[in-house]
Amino acid sequence: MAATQLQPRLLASLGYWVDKDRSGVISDNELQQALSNGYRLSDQFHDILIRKFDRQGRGQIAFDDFIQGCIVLQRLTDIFRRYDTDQDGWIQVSYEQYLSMVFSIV
Amino acid sequence: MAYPGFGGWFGNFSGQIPGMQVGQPVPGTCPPLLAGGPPGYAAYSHSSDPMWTYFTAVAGQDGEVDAEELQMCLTQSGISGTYSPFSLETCRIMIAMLDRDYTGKMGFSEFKELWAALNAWKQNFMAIDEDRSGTVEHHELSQAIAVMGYRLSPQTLHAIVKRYSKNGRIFFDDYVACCVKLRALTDFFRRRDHLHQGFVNFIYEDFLQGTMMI
Repeated sequence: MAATQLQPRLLASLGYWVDKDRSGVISDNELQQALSNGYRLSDQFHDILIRKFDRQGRGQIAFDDFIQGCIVLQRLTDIFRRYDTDQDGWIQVSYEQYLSMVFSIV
Repeated sequence: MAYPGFGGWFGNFSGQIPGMQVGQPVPGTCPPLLAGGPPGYAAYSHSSDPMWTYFTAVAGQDGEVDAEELQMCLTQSGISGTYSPFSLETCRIMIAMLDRDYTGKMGFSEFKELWAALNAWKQNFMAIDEDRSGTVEHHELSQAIAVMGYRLSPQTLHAIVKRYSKNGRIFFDDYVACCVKLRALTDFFRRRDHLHQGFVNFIYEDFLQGTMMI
């Protein structure tokens, strides 16, 4: 099973699709649902993402913070995939490669 | 074995020893990175510590500060001097840099660690910003990074500097953000490089998680 998946759909389906209760903010549940549609990530990672995305610390994620987070997720996934030539979900990188990879994204 | 490209132990600017053992603080400089401190730490009297005053003035009941409180605390302390106070985003990544348990908050011992780092980074910046313009140029930032002990190729340096440059100049707040990111990413990489080989095998989720947390 591929460990990584590209999700062009994810960005395209934002907003209308993610904010299900039309509250204008994205709740933990909505984030979890949104991400589970493309990224196979553990519950622990979901918790971490929520904490990271939830810049206002209210247990909710403002929409633009959500977009920003998704973009970062997507770009990190893209660059990981580029290095993962045999598509096994693992990459080997040197310290400098790692810095060069991520500094332009995070 | 010398860790290629590693460096940036805050405060150890001058006389960086090539191939210096990772994780060994140079005697006479900053407090150790590891939490807990020396024996007898519990007996440490906070009340005589001026940093404690700034910290408790903003910390909540839990004795920790979030990004906004940290920003308040640092602004009140005047650590930025004549430079602009730190942005909220910079404060956020400062917390993330030391936030091992992902609580999004910072306790007092971490705050002291941050304080030591900030002072060292500020000294480094001021040494370059001779005209006190509050900004440095690209090559000066590259130099500052090298002085901190990071041995990086020109291409990597260029990628880093570009990230923080605003019209060819780097402001103090962005410079600090750069130092924080460099240290946090290096720490993360180093924690995965158990054999000190200078390279790591990352699985996708760990790569994402570790990198996004910074």
